Amino acid sequence: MGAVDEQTLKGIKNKQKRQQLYAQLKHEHNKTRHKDRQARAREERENPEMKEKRLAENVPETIDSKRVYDETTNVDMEGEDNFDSYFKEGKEPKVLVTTNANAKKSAYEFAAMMVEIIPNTSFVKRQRKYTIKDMAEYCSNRDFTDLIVINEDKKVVNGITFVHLPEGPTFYFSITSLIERKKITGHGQPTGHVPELVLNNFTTRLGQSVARLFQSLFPHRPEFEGRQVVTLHNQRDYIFFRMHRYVFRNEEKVGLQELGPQFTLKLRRIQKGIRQDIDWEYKTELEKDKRRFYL
Amino acid sequence: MFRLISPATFAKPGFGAHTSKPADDASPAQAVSITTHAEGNTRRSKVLQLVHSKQTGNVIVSRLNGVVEVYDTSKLEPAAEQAKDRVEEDKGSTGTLDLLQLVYEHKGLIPPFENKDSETFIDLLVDDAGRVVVATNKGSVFIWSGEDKINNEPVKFTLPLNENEIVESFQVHPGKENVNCVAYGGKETDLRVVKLPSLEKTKKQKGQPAIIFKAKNLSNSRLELRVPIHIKKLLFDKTSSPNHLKIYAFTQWGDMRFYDSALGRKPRFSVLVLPKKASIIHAIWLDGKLVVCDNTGIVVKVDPSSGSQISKFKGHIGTTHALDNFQDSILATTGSDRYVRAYDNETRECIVKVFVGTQSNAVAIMEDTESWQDRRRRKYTPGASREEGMTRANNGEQREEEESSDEEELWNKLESNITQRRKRRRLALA
Repeated sequence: MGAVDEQTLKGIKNKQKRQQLYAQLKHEHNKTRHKDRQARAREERENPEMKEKRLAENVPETIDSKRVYDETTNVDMEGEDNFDSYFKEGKEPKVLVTTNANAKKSAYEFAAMMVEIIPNTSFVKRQRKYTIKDMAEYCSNRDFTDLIVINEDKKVVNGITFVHLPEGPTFYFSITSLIERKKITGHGQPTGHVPELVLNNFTTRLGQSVARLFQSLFPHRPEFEGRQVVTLHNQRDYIFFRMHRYVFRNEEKVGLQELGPQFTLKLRRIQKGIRQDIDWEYKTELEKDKRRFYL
Repeated sequence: MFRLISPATFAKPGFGAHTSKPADDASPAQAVSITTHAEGNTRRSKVLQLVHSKQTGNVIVSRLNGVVEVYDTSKLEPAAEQAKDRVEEDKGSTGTLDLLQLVYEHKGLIPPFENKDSETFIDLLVDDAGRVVVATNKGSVFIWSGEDKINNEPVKFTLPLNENEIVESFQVHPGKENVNCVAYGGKETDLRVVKLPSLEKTKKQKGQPAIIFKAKNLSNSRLELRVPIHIKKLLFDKTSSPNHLKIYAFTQWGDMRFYDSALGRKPRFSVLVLPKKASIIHAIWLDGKLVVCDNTGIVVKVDPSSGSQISKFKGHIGTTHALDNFQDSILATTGSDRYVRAYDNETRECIVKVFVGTQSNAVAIMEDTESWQDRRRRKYTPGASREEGMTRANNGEQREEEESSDEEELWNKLESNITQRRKRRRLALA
């Protein structure tokens, strides 16, 4: 049988035959595609300006590039907020980590990681009789600036609450795609140094408040001799947590070693005070427009 | 501090100002002028309530640090090539203009706010007799006989409260002769209506407020559990009188309760108006219906006789702190999402949406000088002097006209689309 085209393919009534021919068609198509690419690469190797021209002409359209206009992007912060004690008065953060009541192993493991990552943190086992409001009160009496509550359900860590003390606000994020350190190949071990913090893409007014929360968890002065970086990268309202150690190999090359863990946060709710009136809440209808992002 | 927002030019008639749309060729400069007034205040002295007085046009505010202030709005006439549409307030501080002049001020009415047990203002209103009334959560009521008297010492009453009772909602009876009749309620403080002694008498001899109506709680639930009381907002019915009280109470749990003093002390009905049992923050009358907002971003119009939901005003995220009714035709909202919105009452269309930078506590529409007719005239005869002080009755008609022409346009567009599509289909078939 000779060359097949899509029209003849439609006329074939035997499904198996049709599938076979379709696979053949696809294979041929792929082959020509690869050949074309090779030829183009060869051509472009000889005169690189062609490549530049092609790349300039064919900018792919992504959801990010088609993002809906938001007038709150890159606006100046106005007025005062509850993080002023960190940013203006320079108060050192002091963090308490705890879990949900009756937590299982995974929650404790995650808590141990958080204690390792965030400096000046202590862990306290959760007691069922204390609510978040009670804990917030005890913590603010003991000069803590933040309370972190890790939530675990069916032995999977699925949420994290940040309560800024003494007067809120409260942030709740869901956690997905958690990969522990030992599952990452070639991972290193973090040291006790204060890491540097990289906050990517928090542009809107809401994003700024989230960024301020993460900033206020880490002391002002990173210890550069530790060469550790915590990255919180926001893309399409998902916040990716990564931790690395860098090394300057020579004047041009920089090496990165992942320290782990990896996980993804998604903002679900911001509440005023300690879990009081809602300032912002994720609802499914907010995602009706695929190209609208809030952080 | 205040923000004056004036959508100076409108992109399209029938479409107000939206700062959330970029300015481009299709919709040229959506100039929205936002000016800031009464700057220099911090969060400790943020505005809690704001009232636009119908009699004098002044703006009265109460602040967290126990100050009551009156601002003169007479300089806000659209002389500065800007039509002032609304005043909006919030916390923070920047700005330079001094169009809003502070005319009267009363400091130290209550001690400044320290913690959650401190005394704070819960409501500020101008009653139908022109008196300024301020109430606090500890049950103190301060009354001035007029805005110009605010510099003087007010008459103070103490509402009858039991121990540990807190007032969260306060309302004065409508009608010029009934203003001494006030209702209040709060957390575990069931609705009470008291008659305050009149101001003239009080100056001579101290009178005490007398309770004229005390509500009873609902019957126990089917499981014989007590129904909690937590009144967040009170509204009097239009037909209410001191002898025959009709009151709507809105609760923390999303209920609307209707009390009728002629028929008994228990609520006549209690309906869940918000499906999620969210806390009701504010409620106002709008064209004979009630508009209720909660702390999760829901603003709904509710039928007062049945409590059933008529329609929704969509687009809010988070708590809506304030609502304002402008001549029963426009609803203004603002809250923690840092936007001020205005909706057309009939079409429920969002006609104005403006980003204001900070979260706001109160909103009031001052005027809509740029009437629809005006805008149209300017469009056709550029340079024509703007007629000031458009009569307001006029506006309604003009708006309807505009809408119908809009509708026509829409229909034309739709029809042309349909015919085009049909043509295309016919071609495809051929």
